[in-house]
Amino acid sequence: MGKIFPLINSSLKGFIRNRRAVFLLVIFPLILISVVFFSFNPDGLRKVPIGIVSVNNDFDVSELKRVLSSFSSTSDYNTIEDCIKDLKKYNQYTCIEILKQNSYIFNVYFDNTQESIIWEIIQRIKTNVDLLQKERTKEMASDFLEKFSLTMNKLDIFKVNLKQTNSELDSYIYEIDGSIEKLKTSKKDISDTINEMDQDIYEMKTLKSNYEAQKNNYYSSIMFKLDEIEALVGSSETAGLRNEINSYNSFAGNYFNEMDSRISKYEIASEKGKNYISEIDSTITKMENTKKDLYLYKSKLDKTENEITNIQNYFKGVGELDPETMVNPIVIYNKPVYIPEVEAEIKNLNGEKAERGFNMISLQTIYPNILFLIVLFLSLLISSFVCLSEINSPANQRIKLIKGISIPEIISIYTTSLIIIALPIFCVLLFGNILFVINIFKNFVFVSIILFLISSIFIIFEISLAYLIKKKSITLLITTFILVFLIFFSGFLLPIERMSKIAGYIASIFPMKVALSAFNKIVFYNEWNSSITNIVILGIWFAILIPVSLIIKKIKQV
Amino acid sequence: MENITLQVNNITTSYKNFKISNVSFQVKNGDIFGLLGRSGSGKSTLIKTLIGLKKQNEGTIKVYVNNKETPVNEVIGYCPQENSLYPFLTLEENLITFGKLYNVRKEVIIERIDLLLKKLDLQNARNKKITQLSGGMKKRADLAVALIHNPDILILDEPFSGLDISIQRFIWNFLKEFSSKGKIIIISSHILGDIKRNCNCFGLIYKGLFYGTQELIQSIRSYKEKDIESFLEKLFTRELLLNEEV
Repeated sequence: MGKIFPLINSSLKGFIRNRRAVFLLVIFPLILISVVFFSFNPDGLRKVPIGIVSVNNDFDVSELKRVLSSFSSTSDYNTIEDCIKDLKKYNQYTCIEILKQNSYIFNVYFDNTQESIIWEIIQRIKTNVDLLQKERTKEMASDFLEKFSLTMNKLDIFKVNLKQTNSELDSYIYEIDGSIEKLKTSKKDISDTINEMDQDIYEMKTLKSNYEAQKNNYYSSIMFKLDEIEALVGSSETAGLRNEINSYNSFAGNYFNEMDSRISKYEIASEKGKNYISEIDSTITKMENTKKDLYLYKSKLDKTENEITNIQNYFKGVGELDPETMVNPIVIYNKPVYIPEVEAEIKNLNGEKAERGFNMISLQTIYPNILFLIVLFLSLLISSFVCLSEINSPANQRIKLIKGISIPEIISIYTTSLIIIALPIFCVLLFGNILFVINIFKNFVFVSIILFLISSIFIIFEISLAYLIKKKSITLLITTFILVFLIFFSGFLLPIERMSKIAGYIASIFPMKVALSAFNKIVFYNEWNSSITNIVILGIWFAILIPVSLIIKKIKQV
Repeated sequence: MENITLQVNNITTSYKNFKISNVSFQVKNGDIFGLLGRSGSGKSTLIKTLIGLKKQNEGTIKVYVNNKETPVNEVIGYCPQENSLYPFLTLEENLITFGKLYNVRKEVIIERIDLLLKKLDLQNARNKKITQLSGGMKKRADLAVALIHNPDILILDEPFSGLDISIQRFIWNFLKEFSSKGKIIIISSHILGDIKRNCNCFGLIYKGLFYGTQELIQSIRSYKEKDIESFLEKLFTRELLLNEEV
């Protein structure tokens, strides 16, 4: 340790007194960093030009222009070709062509060579057009729901009418039942009467037949006796009596004929009665059939009523829908998990600040990339400068004579570099805290550990490189290539998910990627415990690079 | 006074395309060893090998302090050809830094700074940055730094190049005083007169070979030259060729 402090002291003093180095490596980067940070607009995108082509349709462009006005200045074009021509000259960011087919179609033409910014604009156009579309569909849905509600009311009335008809059918059936009963009673009465009549007729017929046979027997017997008498007394004496007997016989015969005639009439009446009974039966059968038919109708009415009830129940949900739900039966909300605290704070404030909070999300998520790029550049360049200054320092050949100087020399170069980059990095953290409203200092211990480790890794790496190459110009050239490589290989410009499996895996354990993930987890989600693995990986990188730098120093005899 | 001996035994060292072989000599307390040779002959390479900045191909370099072998870099003070101080530090800061690097206690450092600055007439340069010093002051400053840890052996590589005669004399006087305390000085120079006057033993590097004091004396005698100065002048101006077998 006795050798480290004098070396650090001399390096730092040498650096601080080298005004050009201080300006170029500390003040100049700080100015650039400040310019970068202050150049970002926390109030969102500046207004971008957008061309609109809307001909031969009745779309309300003014409404579209109104919703786009928050982030764009719009111009009208007659043809899409004119607009695209201007887009290719970078006079327009996007061209929106509105066509009317069955529905309105928005063709959004964009310059895909400017993807980073263009996607945000397109997303905003889409959001606003969606908003317009939703408003329109909501109106239609409201209208539909109103009509639907009326239809449902009509169905209710129809159901009431059905119930009433059903009830009337019931009373009809009841009345038919009563009539059938009455008819059956009448039929029974008639039937009984006819049976009695038939019995009487039968008895009358029997009696008549008996009386007639008896009369005929009497007449025959009397005539026989009269013949005998006449034979005895002569016919003169019996002629009168014979005439009288014949007269009485004739009278009785007439009487019996009269009886036959009456019986015949009764029989005809009986037949008629039987016919009536038959008609009553037929009527009853018809009435019963009618009753069955009525039951059938009733059953159909019940079924219809049930169906109406089912339809009503089925559409009950629709009636309870609000137009918003009707328009968006499936709603996808892209919910960012990270909500900046500034947004939470401004909930009760005015809309302008809320918009600022919304815009902060994109700036805050960009911030770690900016921070780590600055760390990368500063670590590599400053450590390169410090190390090469030491290597090429006139004092170095005297230093090399001192026993056991290798480790203290590396430590002093490393510490000096770390001290020099600490100020600009702290300024970047302050910018992030103040300008981008990120609460970095909440987990400052972990943030410091990550920044310390990542800076240390780059410093030690650059020290090794400087020892390996020794020459300033070549070292700086190689450093530039390495910077570019690290930027491309750490997911800054090209996402590592686009890489092949092996390359992606290697990139995922590269210090930049590991540190960036750890930083994001800690700063945005307060997930310091899940960042420990990342910190361990960084520690392993650091532990590997230290002996590497020592070995290179030893081999190259720097 | 400590008994100090530097023994160089048959070392060979090389740099890029040339090689210096057969280097053997021994110096003891109070010796001022003059290393001679034409520009580019390899004097600096040999010195770097002696101080350990460069590893010899073969042979040994040993230092004995009171008959005990001691690592060379513990007892050596080195004053390279070019200025070798931190340019943006003051002379005092340089002295303190190197004193601490040699594990010298702070009060001793302060004491030595006062002494060295006084003896080397650098009091006015104490708080000046190295970049602000003149050539002569820089050379003396280098010398001061080389002596801050009170080394037993002082090795100087072309200390007088670019210096005016008065400063050269001043430095020689200082070196002789230093030598008189029983310290060993190894000095390379192409100023033959000074070497002849002030050194008591010599080494010559000529065409990749090293010639020690005895070999040089023999050559002077064989070529019938009056002294080493005239011998080397003629040798360097190619008026005579040194027999490699001398």
